[in-house]
Amino acid sequence: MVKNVSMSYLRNIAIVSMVLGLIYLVIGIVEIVSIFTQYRIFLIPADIIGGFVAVTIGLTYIFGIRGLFRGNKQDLGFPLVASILAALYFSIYSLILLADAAECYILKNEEYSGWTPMHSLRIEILVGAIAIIIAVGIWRRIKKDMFFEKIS
Amino acid sequence: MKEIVVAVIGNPNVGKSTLFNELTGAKQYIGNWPGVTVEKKEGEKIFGGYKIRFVDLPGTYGLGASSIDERIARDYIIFEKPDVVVDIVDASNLDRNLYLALELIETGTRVVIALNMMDIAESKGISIDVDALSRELGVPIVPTVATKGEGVEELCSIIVQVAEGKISYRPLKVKYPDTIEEAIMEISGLLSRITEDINTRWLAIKLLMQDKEVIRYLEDMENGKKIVSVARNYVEKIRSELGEDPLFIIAEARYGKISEILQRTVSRVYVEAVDISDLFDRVLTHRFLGLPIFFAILWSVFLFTFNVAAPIVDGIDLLFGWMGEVIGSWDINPPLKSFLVDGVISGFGSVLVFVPNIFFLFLAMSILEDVGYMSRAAFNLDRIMRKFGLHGKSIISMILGFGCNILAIMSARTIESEEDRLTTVLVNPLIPCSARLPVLIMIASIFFGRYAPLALFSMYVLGIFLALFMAILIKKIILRGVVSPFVMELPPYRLPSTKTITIHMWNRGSKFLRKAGIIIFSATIIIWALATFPHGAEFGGPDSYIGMLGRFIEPILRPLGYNWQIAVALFFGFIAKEVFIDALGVIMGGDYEAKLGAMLSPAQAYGLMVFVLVYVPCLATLATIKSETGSWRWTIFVLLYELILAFILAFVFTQLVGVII
Repeated sequence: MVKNVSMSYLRNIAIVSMVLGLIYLVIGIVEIVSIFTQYRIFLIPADIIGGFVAVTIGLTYIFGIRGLFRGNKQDLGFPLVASILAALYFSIYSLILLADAAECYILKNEEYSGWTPMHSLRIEILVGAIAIIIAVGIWRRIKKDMFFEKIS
Repeated sequence: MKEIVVAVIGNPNVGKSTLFNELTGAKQYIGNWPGVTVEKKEGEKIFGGYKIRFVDLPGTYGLGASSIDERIARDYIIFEKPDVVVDIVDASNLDRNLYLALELIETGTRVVIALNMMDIAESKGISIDVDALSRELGVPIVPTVATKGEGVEELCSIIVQVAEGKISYRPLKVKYPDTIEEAIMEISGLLSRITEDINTRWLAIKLLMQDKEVIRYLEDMENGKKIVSVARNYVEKIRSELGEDPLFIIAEARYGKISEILQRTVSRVYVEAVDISDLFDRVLTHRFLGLPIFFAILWSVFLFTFNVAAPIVDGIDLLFGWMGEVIGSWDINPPLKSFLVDGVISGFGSVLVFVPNIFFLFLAMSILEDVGYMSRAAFNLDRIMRKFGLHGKSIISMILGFGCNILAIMSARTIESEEDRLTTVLVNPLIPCSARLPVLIMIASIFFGRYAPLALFSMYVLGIFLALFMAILIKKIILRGVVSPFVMELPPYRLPSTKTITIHMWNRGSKFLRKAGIIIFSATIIIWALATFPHGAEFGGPDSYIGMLGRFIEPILRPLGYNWQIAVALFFGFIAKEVFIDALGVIMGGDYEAKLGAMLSPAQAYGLMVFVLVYVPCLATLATIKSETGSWRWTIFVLLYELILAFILAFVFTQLVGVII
């Protein structure tokens, strides 16, 4: 009945976790360090708490890698939670972008004069989109292959 | 129309409030975590020509009455004698839930079991032979799925039939070891001479279990002390003969019976290869990741509350500004115009501007609660608190405090130890409630621009830290005691229900609107009148009554850099925190934000945020502290320590931030 999840699947997830984990770690560290320079590097703003969040997401991905390489399916929780957090911030930062657009174009708020979408676009929105795909993929796999074991 | 009174009881977090809402059409607060119902609530349903009055009791694991909420539940069933007791049982967790059912059956009340969460049980591969279970327990059982409203009509039908005696009722009798049965017989015989109201077998069992409340109740009755003494002798006899306390033997016999019944009535079709809740908990309650994830989620709540709600807030602000200009241009009675423009628009309107922030915060909190995350947050924080000797249930109260301190203080009733309960009540006002949110947002947005969410977030972190710190201090110095054990139940994760979230958000948000309509509007009238009179004084000027009051208070707050206008606004914030903005709006007019911006430095503004966070709880919270502690001494203690702490912290933070910025 049960199609046991394959080792290769867990390994693939581990590799993706490693890549995403490192990306988020780098983003987080840059956001924190930028506080001292106040420079916005590409789509990475100076944001100490945002940086802390990105580091947390990165570490959550990374904490699961070892178990996944060993075939521990319970450790799928790490990339799943990390991806959900990434998706949460993808949503929040996207909503903030829309809110800023509303301030500029609809309310004509003076503080937003000269604002362009690039001012509020963050790298977490782009990377978050990938994380959402990962989360949906893992979730589907769990629901499909791993959920139940029939009692003989 | 004949009335049937029904008590609704069950273990915590079995969907009791959800079922109660389905039965009565009420919109009671529901949370996917234990301890939501802390006092009994009532609702009605007309069914088949009967008026069924439902009384929702606090969640309890048994009828032991070790905490206030458990006592409320037990006293109602034993002394109020409802016509029917509906015990809501989690079908996916029968072995634990049936313990309360057995106890209820022993009280002699007419019990109907609502086998709730049948969908979850099925999804976990649990198959229940409902008829067989009903026969074993000797009580009617109705399968329900409260979240979908399934089984509600059938439950009402069974309730009516049971109340009318149309269903044969042969409740199960748990057989205890002979020595205990002999004791029960003897004691219940004695009890039947002094009480007819309460089931004597249940009372006898409680006496053998050394239930303090039952002992106290009987000792107040004539000849009750003799019976208590006889029971004590039996307890000693049982201990010497069976080598164990009757409390454990009775509990063991009940669990043994439950196990027997379940073996005959429940089977597992399949088991989860991966438990989804375990999968998430492995990460969300992780020793190292649990807390950072908690703060990351909390930060997302603030961004949502502050940044995402911003255009709506600004839109309402523009609307009020436009209304002020329109009314200002009307040729009407000058005092009336002043009241409308300076009072209603500038004062009251400046509070209403923040309504979207409050609804956004409640929406986010509701989602987190409904998903089941809040219990995990409490679990993570409990790890820290435990190290300092604090009770884990305090954390649940503290998290509830983000919504409203009053509800949070009342939720402390679930804490068994009096010292722990008192500590929780005393520190809860330090948790920033939703009333403080508009004030903190207002100051943050004036002074900290794009760093406003960070300033706001720091207030919440500071609030949590201060509450923990004060709790430790109170526990170590004033209310010393042993920390009672705390077993935290982590409810299963579930997809948030739009209905539950909407009800929850609306319930909390509408409270703010009601408060705005009554308390804040009344305060507006008073503040406007004080700003207008005496006749001839400049409106809101130093010679108006409000100016005189402000100048009287000002010297106390001068070391913090606050002028008389801020001082008087803080004074009125005592009625309700939002009135702080109301008062500033009336005194300074529609452009109060710009004027306030010119009055304080960012460091002083941060100090003011700290002061608002910590200083005196609102009047309603103080009244709740008085009623929950039953003491003026503790109420005044809270008032004083918060004032002193606010002053010191505001001063320190003003200096610190001044150095940094």
